[in-house]
Amino acid sequence: MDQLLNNPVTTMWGPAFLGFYATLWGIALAWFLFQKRRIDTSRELASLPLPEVVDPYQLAYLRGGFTELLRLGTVELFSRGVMIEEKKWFKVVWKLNESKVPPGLLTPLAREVGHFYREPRKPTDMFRPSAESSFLENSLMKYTDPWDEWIESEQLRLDPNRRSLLTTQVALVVGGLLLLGALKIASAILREHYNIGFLVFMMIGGAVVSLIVCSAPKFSDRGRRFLKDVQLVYGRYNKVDKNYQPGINEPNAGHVNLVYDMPVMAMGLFGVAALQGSALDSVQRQFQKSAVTGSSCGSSWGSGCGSGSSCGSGCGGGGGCGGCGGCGS
Amino acid sequence: MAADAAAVGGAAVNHVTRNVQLAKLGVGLGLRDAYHTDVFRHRREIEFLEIVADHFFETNPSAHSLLSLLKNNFPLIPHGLSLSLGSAEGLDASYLRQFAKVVEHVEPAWWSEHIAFTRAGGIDIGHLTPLPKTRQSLACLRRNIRQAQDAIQRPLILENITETIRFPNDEFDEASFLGQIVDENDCGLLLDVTNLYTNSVNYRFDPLQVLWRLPADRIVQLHFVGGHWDDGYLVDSHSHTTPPEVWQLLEEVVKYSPLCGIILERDEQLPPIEVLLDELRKAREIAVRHGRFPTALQPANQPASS
Amino acid sequence: MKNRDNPASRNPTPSREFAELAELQRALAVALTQSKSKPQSDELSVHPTGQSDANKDECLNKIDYLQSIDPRELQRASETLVRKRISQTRHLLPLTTGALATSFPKLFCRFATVHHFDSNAAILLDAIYFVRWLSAQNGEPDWIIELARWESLRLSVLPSRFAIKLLGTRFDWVTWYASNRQAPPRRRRGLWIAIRAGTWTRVWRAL
Repeated sequence: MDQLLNNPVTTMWGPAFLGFYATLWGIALAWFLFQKRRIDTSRELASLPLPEVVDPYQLAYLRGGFTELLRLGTVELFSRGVMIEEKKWFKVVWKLNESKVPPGLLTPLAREVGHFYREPRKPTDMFRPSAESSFLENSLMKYTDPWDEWIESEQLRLDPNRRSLLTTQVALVVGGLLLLGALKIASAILREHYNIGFLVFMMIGGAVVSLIVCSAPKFSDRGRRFLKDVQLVYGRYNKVDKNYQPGINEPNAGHVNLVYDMPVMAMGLFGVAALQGSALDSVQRQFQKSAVTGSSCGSSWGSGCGSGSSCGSGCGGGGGCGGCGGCGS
Repeated sequence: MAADAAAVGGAAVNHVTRNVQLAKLGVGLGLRDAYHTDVFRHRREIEFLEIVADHFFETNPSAHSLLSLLKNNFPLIPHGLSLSLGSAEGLDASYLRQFAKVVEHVEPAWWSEHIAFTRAGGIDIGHLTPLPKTRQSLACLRRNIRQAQDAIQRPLILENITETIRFPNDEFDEASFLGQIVDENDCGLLLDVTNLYTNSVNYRFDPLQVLWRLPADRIVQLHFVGGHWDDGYLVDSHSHTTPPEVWQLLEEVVKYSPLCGIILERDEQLPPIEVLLDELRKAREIAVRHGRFPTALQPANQPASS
Repeated sequence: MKNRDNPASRNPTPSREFAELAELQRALAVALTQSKSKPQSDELSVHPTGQSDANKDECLNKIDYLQSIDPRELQRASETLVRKRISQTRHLLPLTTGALATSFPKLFCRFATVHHFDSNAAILLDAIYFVRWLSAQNGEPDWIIELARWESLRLSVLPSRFAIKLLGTRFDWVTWYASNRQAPPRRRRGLWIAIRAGTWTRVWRAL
């Protein structure tokens, strides 16, 4: 112990130690970044070609795993008018309104989600561990297994083994550096030096920055590029139209002959934020609440809780600026 | 100014603008904002896209990602609107530089502009304005085209415009003016069939007599679309489906010249994409019938439901 | 948005060889854009420069044969140009033009007599300048002016990669208008911010 507290490093003059310690953190961060790049083997791969028909469920699964899939199935039920929201005092309950739309008009996946709501349930129920929610998850696996294969074969997500290896490495290095800082603090206090504010700040700052920098991303570089490309092409559907009315069996909107309902398409591609301000705004709010209150947030590898992005500008794109504009060209 | 613009380009100028030397791109669509999603969904039926280069200038950062995405999925042809090749005051170096950057990024088989001016005396007209068909105009075009070709090292093809004004002191007729321009400057011709038809209707001449005097080996690409009638005057508004007369003329052009590409150029009253795809199919049938393009396209994939 | 180029390179002096053609083109440009002259910066408080001092009649007189052009052709060409600008501006300012309804083309024609195209991002600028011009006019209801300002602000952040703009107050009801397509029942004040970063643009109420 005495050796640990009294060695050339821990007894180093304060400012010199701070410089040394900062350099160590810098080297560690650079190494983390290098490792983070290294584990993503998809960087060299060409962008994945865009599918001719985008399946919003597949995209939702890619973005947020099971949780996002369940949410999307729920949104389809609402958008077709099959599910309704009922408020009893302060309690919100979702229940089926099966007479509204024949189940044949629903996608098979939404039908599976619909089974879960045979009895009225609270919005958070789906995301809480229970026998029914596990059953639902299992019943959806027949859809998600081929998607998992696709995600793996196309390298759209980082290899989980490499991700955990990176996490372990980061944890070890950060732990080591924090230990070194702690030893220096102990050594300083033993020698009745109490000006340790900078060092404490550096330890906390270094650890936080390392966590931020090294949190292994969910997507691989190729996956991120693919998602970005799809969102760019379907950018005009990043918000559900304010005039959209649920329960109308008309999946087509605008020029694009959508196979899916507008809200399903928008949320599948851009996340729940796409529902904001639309007729399904309350569903979106319930999802956000359930993300806060529901602890499990789905399963497997789904990050789930994220509300997805509604990135991509509604007004961007510069397209509007002209065209040959008729006459003369 | 010329040196400035030329700096963007590379080494040797590529002036291969006879249709037999260029790639056969097939039948495609002029890309418009409203069809961004559709063109990707139907890309098996759209053999290439013509993009308006102005939309992808650096002033519009979000367009850059779209341009890369388009490039990865389609052969692209940049089409200019405001280079103003006919301006007596010369080219706008900054515009040319930005245009060159787009072309450099896209690496197209060729690029296109109009035989017109859009800027004069510091005024941007915002519209393609015809040039008087005089020797002075030819000389002015020669100077500007050379500058553009120095800056952009890809084959240039030039488009005939709708003539809203005819000048009393013209020294050439339409056919000889167009022919002289493309021959003198070693450019290809982007023959806008609708414009030719519109001019023939508004100024009462036989479009075939003009067509047959154009150099067949210089016609690289076609434009077609429908316009509308306004007070007895045919307006090239790019707002309607192609009328039978234009289809007829298009067939004559296809018969006459071994062209490389055909573009439907719809700008106004945009219909669902299916309407445009029908027109593309029809244009392709004509081109295939006359042996200009190899085979007919496969029918589009039907979207699979989940 | 800014004219970053050397003005000399954008409006170069034509060589003597093409002097006659240049004069004809300038006269035509003035005639077609219905410009009295190139707008001075104080006329709209928006246009960067003003080089041309020739008015339409002067230019037309300078070129004899321009006078011999069928005036109906000139008129038609000029109208076509304005129609094209109207249609493109309508696309960029859907709320304002919707609110102005049938008076929009008339107002735009008045605007077109004092303002012509700028070069790069011309249509975008046309829409923005139209709104600024509209704001300076009397006679339109305040709420339409506010609506137009909101739309033009949304447009004005488009060309820049990064932009933060304070929209000012009283824009809350615009959203209400957009969904209801009629005049708002009352105004609500608030601070609105537009932020653009790369391809991401957001306009929202801060206070």
